[in-house]
Amino acid sequence: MTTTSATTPPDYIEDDQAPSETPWQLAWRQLRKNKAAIAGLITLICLYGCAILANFLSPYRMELRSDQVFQPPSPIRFHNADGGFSLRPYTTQLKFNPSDNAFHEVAGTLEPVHFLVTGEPYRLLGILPLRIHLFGAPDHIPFHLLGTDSDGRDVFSRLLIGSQISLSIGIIAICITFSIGLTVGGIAGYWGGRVDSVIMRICEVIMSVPQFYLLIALAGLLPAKIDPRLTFLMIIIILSFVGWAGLARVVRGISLSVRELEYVQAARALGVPEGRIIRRHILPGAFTYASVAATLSIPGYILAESGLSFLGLGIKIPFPSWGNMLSAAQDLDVIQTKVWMLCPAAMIFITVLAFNFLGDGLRDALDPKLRR
Amino acid sequence: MPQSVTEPVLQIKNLRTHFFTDQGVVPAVDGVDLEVYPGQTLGVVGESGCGKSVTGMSAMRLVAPPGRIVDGEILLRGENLLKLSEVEMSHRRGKDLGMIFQEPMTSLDPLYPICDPLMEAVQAHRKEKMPKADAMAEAVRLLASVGIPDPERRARSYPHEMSGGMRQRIMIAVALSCRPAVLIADEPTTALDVTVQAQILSLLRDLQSETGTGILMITHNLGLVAENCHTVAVMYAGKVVEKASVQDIFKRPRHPYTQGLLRAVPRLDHPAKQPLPTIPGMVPNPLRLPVGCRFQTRCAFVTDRCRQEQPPLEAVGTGHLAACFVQPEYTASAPAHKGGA
Amino acid sequence: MEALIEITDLVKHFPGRSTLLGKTSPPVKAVDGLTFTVYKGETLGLVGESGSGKSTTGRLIIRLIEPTSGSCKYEGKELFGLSRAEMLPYRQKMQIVFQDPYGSLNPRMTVSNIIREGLEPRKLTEQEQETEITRLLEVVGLRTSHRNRYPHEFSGGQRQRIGIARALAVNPEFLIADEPVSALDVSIQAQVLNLLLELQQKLGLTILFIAHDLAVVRHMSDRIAVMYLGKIVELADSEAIYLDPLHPYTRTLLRAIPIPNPDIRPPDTSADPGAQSGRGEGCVFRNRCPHSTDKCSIEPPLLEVKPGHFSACHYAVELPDYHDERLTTG
Repeated sequence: MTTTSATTPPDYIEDDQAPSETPWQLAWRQLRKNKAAIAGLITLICLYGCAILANFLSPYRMELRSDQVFQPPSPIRFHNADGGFSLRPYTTQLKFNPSDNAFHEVAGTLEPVHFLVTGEPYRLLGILPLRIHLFGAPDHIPFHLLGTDSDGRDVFSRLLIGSQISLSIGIIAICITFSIGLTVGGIAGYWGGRVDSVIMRICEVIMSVPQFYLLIALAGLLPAKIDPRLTFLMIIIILSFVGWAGLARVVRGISLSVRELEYVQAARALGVPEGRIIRRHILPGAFTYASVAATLSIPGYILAESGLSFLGLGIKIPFPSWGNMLSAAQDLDVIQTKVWMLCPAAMIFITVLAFNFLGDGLRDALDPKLRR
Repeated sequence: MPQSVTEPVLQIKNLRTHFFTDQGVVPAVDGVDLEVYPGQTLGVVGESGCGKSVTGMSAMRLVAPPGRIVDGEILLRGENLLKLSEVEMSHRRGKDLGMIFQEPMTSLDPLYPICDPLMEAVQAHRKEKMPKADAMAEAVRLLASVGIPDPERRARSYPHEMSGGMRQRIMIAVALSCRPAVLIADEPTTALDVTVQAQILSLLRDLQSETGTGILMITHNLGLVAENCHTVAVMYAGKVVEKASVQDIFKRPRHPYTQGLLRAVPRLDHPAKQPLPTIPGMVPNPLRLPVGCRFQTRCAFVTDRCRQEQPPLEAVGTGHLAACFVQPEYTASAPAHKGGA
Repeated sequence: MEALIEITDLVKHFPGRSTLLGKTSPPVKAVDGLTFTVYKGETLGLVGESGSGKSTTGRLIIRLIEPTSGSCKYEGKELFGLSRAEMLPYRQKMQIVFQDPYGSLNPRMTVSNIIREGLEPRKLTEQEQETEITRLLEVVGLRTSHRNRYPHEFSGGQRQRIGIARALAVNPEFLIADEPVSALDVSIQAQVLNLLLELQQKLGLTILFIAHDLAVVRHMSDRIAVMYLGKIVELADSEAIYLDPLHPYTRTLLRAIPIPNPDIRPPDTSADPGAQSGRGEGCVFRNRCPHSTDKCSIEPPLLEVKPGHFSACHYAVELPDYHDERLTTG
């Protein structure tokens, strides 16, 4: 009851000086006003940036085991051995004491953390061979920023490498579902009639099968001992297979409504060929809305991958993904006493939240109000 | 008629409602004075963006952010509504102040039968609980009063089963259920067909003479103003530019904007296929209102003074106020445009 | 007078929606047997309330929707049944202007690209296109410097001008104006109406002017067809329509129009029965008509009651004389 369209003043264009604004600039300006969306966008840029630079940022190889099992995060000190303040962080060694079943700092082991050190060789982005790492362990003692897991592997390094898998799976899966959904949904929406009915019934059948069950069943079919890269690919295919139907329905709805818009009618009245109408009017119209739907469905894929890997059906150890890392934090004892093992959960939480904020912001910015 | 001895039931004094947008402050309502007398109808006319709807929403204290009432008084029988708490105000809404909106399709909840909002309305402002059967009887009586045929049966039907005109009748029944002192009608018939519109307005007139409700009617349709209003306020860019009895507005308008509006309407009693006298240009950007008179860019009579000073709303006759330094005489044909802008 | 468009027995039924239980609601008879002619150079007004089928009629003629049956001849040449390619030359002769100044322009295209879409079939060079766009913008009274702006930067009236410029881009002979001003403010409405009058004079356009506001239609039209529930109930010169209406529905419609003159009290319309959903056999207006008799269960044909004045009422000549005192006073 409280909304009234009359409160939004009509638009005016009496001054030639005012710079012309494209719809994209307008949408960007709308998006920038949305603080949550911008926070989400920045977070995602950081997360994906870290994933790309994972090898450079991580001090250890992901599968490297040490005898320090379940070591808590290494302490970081901003003072040197004399107690004077130092900008360079120092760390000390932690040693397990079986008598009280806990880790304790070893006195006199305060050592500086080194930056841009030469370490394990790796290929940045899979091409550039490098040996340089952002930081490395001091000379004699281990340095685990987020502790170690049950096999003594560095959680921080595994988190970074795992993000490559967990984050890219969502993007690649959405690219596949988006192309299938856009094509199938577009066909159904534009042609309508029998084609539409058949396609939509198929979509409904796929959507009415319990999704997680379908995922588990399909993942269970994967042979246990195959190339992890193949597993990765298969998981993406499985996720896309389950996911395209929902997007196709969204796209169909959009193209149905765009088709009826008066500017599409006007183009038809002008005798513009159908192909050009689809390309020029319908697809761009549908694309913006569908991309919002896509952004909002990426978290679903990330969660699904985590779920599968958590159950041991996805990415297999020693390859890390956020999901299989979390499976180490299943029992109460770990959750209570080894809090650092929950870092992957925090990362999933942040990522999903960031995508949702960004998606909501995009939806507002690309709102049909744009036409006003 | 407006200069009768009775006190106004609703008095809006120096109302300012501004919208704080990202681009700047939009003074949607900028110092508006209006009076609604019991049993009479005040018409507020103007084009989109002139602030007429915001004035109505302000009187109900229903302005949504980024809009805010920044100044003024809204006196209902002498009591300033802007001083009330939100809880007290919600008691006034419905009971003392009713409102009907333009869109009868979305004003009713599709999930409830139409008797539901009516029963809710009659029960809402009572101290002791009203038995359900009594409330239902009252709802049926209200439906009958707004001319719904077969009200007992209709009370149990759902909004989608009713036409636009029927729904607007129901909205009127809801708004008038507590016999409010003032009814604010924001474009009540704009979404309806012309034959339905005539029926709805004739119903409103009948109910008004029965209950003595004062009506604030917001509309862009000058024909409706002539037929339904006793006094008229013409708004332009957030300000009242002319306020007078309906006779004076239509026969002796003194503001060039009022005159322009009257001439621009195609009428059955004017020759066809002739160019209509128009008001050139368009409404100024509310973020960059000109210094001086806000109508200056579209006015044929603009003077240097109009570009420097804002003309005050002053008496130009008995009960006739206009905000214009020039106050040209009204002729049915258009004046030659002196090229103001 | 020379006929430009001849419509015969035009019918459009939208199929009923089937419900879950397999029941199918009866088809909606949006347009139910229209026969009329549009003469060269005239403006034919098509007036009616919501659901009268007036907009559907416009879209049928320009073949945005396919008719159920009937015929539409353009200068004697049957349009219905033409293929896309065969229809193309006629798309150059007929154009349409829409009601919604917000929905009728693609928000992602600049003004010049919107107009260019209409120029494409004319196979002009880049340079000629630009010149033509400039000319069209001037014709509809827009600043040529605004050519690279986007629709959202314009007000409703300006957007309607862009829509008119797009329609004129193909150099049409016949323009369908579908409620072109009903979304606009009074002062802007007058500007657009004047523009249409001026264009008609300058370009010799024939116009089918569709609107619900009888005062606006009367102002624009030479002849007026009044539609009710998919049928034309009256067709006559526009003066005759409001001075001597010969159908009870036209009279109801006229009485309902508010006149901007405070000396005229509105006539009592409370006795008019409200719009009825569904219609039975016979005359479409039968349920609301104060003059209806048993005879009205037989559908009255649209007959020429007086020279050039058609009415679909059995009692057209017997109706009491119509006198609207509201139009003679003041």
